[in-house]
Amino acid sequence: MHHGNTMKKDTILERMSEVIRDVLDNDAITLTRQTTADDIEEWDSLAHITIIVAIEKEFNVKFNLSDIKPLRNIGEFEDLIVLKTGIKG
Amino acid sequence: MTFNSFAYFIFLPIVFLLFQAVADRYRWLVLLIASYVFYGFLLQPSLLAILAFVTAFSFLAGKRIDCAGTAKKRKQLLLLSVFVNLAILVYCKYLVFLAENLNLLIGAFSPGVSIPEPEPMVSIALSFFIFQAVSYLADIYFGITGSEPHPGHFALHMSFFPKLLQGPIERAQGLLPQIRQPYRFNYDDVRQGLLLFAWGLFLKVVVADRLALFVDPVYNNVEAYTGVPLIIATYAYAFQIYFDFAGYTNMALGSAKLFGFNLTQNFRSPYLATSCADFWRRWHISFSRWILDYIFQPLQMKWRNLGKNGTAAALLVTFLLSGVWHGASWNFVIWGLLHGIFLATSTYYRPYRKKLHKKLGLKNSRWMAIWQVFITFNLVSFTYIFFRASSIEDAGHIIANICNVYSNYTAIKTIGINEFITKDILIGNRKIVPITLLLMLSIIWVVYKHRDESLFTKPVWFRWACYYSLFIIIVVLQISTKSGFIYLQF
Amino acid sequence: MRKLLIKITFFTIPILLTGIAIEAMLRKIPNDYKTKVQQYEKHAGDFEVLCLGESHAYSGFNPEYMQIRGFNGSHFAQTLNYDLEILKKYDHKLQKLRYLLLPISYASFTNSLENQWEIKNYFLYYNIKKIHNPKYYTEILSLPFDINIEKLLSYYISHTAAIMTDTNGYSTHYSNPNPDKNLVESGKKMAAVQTAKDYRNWDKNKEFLDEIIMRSKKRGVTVILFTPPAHNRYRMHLDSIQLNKTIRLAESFARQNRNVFYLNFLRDRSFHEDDFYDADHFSSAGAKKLTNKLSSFVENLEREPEN
Repeated sequence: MHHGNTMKKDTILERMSEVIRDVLDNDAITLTRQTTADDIEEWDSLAHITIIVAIEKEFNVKFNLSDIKPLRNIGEFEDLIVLKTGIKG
Repeated sequence: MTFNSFAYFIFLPIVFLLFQAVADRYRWLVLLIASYVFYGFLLQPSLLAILAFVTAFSFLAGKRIDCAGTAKKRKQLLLLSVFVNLAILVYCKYLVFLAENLNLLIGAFSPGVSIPEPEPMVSIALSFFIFQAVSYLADIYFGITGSEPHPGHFALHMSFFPKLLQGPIERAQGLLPQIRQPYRFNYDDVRQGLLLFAWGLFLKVVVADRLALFVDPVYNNVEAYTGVPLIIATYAYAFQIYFDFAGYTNMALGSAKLFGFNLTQNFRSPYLATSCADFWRRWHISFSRWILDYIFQPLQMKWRNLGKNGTAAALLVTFLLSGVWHGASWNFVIWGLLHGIFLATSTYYRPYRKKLHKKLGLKNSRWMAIWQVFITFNLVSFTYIFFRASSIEDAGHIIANICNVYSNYTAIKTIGINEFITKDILIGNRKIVPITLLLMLSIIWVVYKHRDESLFTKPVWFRWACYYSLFIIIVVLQISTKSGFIYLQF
Repeated sequence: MRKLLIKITFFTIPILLTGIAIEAMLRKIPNDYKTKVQQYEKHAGDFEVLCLGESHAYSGFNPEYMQIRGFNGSHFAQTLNYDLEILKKYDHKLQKLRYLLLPISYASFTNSLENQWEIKNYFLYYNIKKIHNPKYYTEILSLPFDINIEKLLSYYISHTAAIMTDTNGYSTHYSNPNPDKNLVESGKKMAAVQTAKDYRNWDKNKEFLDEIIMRSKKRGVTVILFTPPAHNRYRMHLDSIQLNKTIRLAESFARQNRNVFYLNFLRDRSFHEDDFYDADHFSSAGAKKLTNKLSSFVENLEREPEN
């Protein structure tokens, strides 16, 4: 079981991976901080928004376009989640 | 001046020499002045004024957005500056269209009443550089780039003549760093640039203009044709517009390369696309990325809680606007709408199709790919009917008669086949022996295969043979009725 | 950089040399413009009547049927601008000139040769240098490549050159029967081509004619403007506004100048189908008829004492 304030970054990454694997329907996907959307075959623009919505649900946050646009890889996405949720790493 | 004119053949070397001769810190100024001179050749001072205004305005607005304190202020400034830019575009390009349609609407309710219709305005290049300005402002807002401190560099970024008239639409983070970089003469750049330019010229004056000979007689007089000629003309147009625009783009990229600039690739074998979505990743790439980043993504984000419906709606709106961008007429709107419909429907069935293909083991099937390419090409060609037809009525006539198997033979006998298979069509006004034709085709094939860097690894005699052949082919086989570039009107 | 310039020079030299050679060969080919220039140089001093203008005069005026020595100085598509330039050029040579004939047709005041390839002929062969587009300083750049090659091949290989003018300047082309004679089609087509979209050239052309008339007045030359007869099949497609404007202007020139006369043959009933090569040009029979009419008008003028 995880408790809110003691969640570590890796766990966030794990939770993100879970969400993405679920959306893209592919359990073989592994994510690192350097992974980009281009690295994953199923990640098209429809998947992209679905992932964002799913992440929003999972972490109970709301993103703006200006948050999302500059993101270049999973690592930056993770940092954004940390920022938004206030969860310390 | 257009790229395929004598004026440009004299203009370009002069600018090149000046560029080389001048000290590095003034090189941007040479290009900037050259760009305004280039634009000035159209003899439309209002266009120059608009370019200057949009440049100055966007430069200042960008600075303001960058310095703005609160997120709210940033957003307000963004919306305001984008609005001004788009308002200018709408005013110059769409006012007549809006007025006409407004009058139609008013006329339906109160006949005899109408608002005065304004004079149509020349709006060459406006759609391109205003979109580029909007991209700049939005990118600053999103934090993707900072505002450019150097006004001269920014002015060049906006007006750079290779991309001014028909794009590619450049992003700030793509072009501005190149402008900032000190220039060092690179022999290979010049070589590559010249080759690209020559290749683009070939595509335009030898191939595209030749295809126009098949297309124009039909599309300029649709009532006279039914059946097969309509099909041939439509397919021919699909290729004509590709070679025309790709030709222009090559000439643009080649011109820029002479000065050490790498502009964005606009095409990637578009007719090998396996779906409409794929098509837009390969066709007019700088434009489709623009509508993706600045129209589709914001809309999709806004409607994200509607799931697939949200995405489908975002696609519809995006491509509807894309149609509008291409021209102030209902034809283009329908063209855009059709693409929007194709893409929107694919959001619904694509996941199922993917699963189906996986199940049937078709995922990597060669035949599947060929079939998809075939379907996609036909869908796209169908939309070109609206793109090229001079009016809705014409488009309607074409669609109604395109499958008319019975009438076509009469049409071919009396008018059709003469236009298509006439001795003149293939080789201009002279009958050239098939062997010579074959020789030329093989030369073209060779140049095509090597038109990237690999040509320069070949021995001198081979290269020079290619250069001379290309030159001769362009001179001998060009179609002499001087036509403008298709995308110039957008 | 030096390497680049050297290579480019090496690349372009053969091209330039070939271009120059082709240009030289093209210029040597005999043509109607050269022929007429030669006639001016040799015989201008003998011309008593000169007819300028465009293809209506070219097909319609045969100096053979004039009682006095005449020359047809018209060319296809020649505009008032170039009529004037030719007069200016040979002013000093045309010592015996007493009559100047100018056709005033449907498009005379709306036409302009600016940016059309024909002006290269005036630049190269008449030496009229007032042309601004450098493309037209050369043969090779003025016409499409395949046409130029065709010209070279037919002259240097087949030894035929497209000379269409006789020693009097009258066109020989129209004296042969027309294999594709189709008055209905050609009438419609030609009227459409000559109907102006706007009148931007109107004032300029008016000025040119004005100057022609002034110069003629100074030299004591009588100017005879004439609107050639038109076949019904051509006439029915003409825009009446453009036509009437043109006729009114010609009439006003005649009214305001003592040395100018205007003859309107547009609806002349004596011209029949055999007199036309196509709806807008004359056959040799038609040229004979028209020239005879002009000739008798000139004779009447000769007989009347000066007013």
